[in-house]
Amino acid sequence: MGLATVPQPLSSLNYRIPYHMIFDHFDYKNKVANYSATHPNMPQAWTNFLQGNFIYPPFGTYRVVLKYVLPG
Amino acid sequence: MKSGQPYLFKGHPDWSFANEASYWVQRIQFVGPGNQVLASGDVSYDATARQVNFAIPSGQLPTDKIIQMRMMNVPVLPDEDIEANVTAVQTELANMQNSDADTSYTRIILEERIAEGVQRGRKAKDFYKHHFRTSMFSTFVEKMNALNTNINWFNPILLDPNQTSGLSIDDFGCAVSGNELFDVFDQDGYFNGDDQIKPIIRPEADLNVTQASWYNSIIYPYMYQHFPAPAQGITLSWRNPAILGNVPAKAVWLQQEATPHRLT
Repeated sequence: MGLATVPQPLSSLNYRIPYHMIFDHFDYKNKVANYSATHPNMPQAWTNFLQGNFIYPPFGTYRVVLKYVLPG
Repeated sequence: MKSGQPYLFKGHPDWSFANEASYWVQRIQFVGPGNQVLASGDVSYDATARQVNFAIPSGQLPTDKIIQMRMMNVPVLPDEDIEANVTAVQTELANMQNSDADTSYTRIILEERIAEGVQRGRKAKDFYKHHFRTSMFSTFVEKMNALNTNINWFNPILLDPNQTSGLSIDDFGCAVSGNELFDVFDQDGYFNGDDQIKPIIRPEADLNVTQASWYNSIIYPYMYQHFPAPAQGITLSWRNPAILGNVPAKAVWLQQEATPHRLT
């Protein structure tokens, strides 16, 4: 029995958090806008959210933790 | 093995040796090159969880080798002890010798070998086996430290599926290269016929470490500190938060431009 040399495929670690966060932002904003139509005295933080914009992540360092979980 | 085959294991009424269960144990063996048993241990079956339980050997398997894992029915008494239940009774029928050195006469001894109960020949036999290759590295940390992750990339994703606005946001990440990457069990998990088994490696963003504290200083106080607000009906509907979390910290993954290997 021998060991075959297996070519290693092109691999990468992907970070798709900003994409999900900006769609969360769209989703929440739509619902807060609807809520505000019937609740004019909603919390100030919600008003700020409604009037604010999603800030894109700056270029730099973002950490990912790889957890190694044995089965069982 | 198909998922949920309890009759292969001791304790099940249809197990092959159910009628003489006390004579057998079930063991797991890890066999290396030259058919050398490198490690062994007890194995049991949890019928409720439909799961075989055994201890993964620690520090006993060589790195970067094809290993056979086999589960076996093993007799409590080794095969050479097949006469363990036999008693020899000697009866002297005739003795005309004056001493053992006297060869002029014959000494006749009858030896009766009496077996108590039925003793069948029992040999260890495997009932399940497969092969795997051990990692080139002794620990996961050692493996990850050996990878090259210095090449970064980004990829703009259009937010409007109709592509009319041109608004986009970047996916980003790093290329991963090295002598040993990840197999299908590491990266994707697998479907065992009944259940989807999760991958062994589960990436998750550490949002305490983002450039210029982007998440903690900007995104969290702006949005996730206040939402979801289920009492007011403000919850996510575009995605299922049970998968990636209310804060989508699990939206990170390992990707290979090929089907991940099963035996690397």
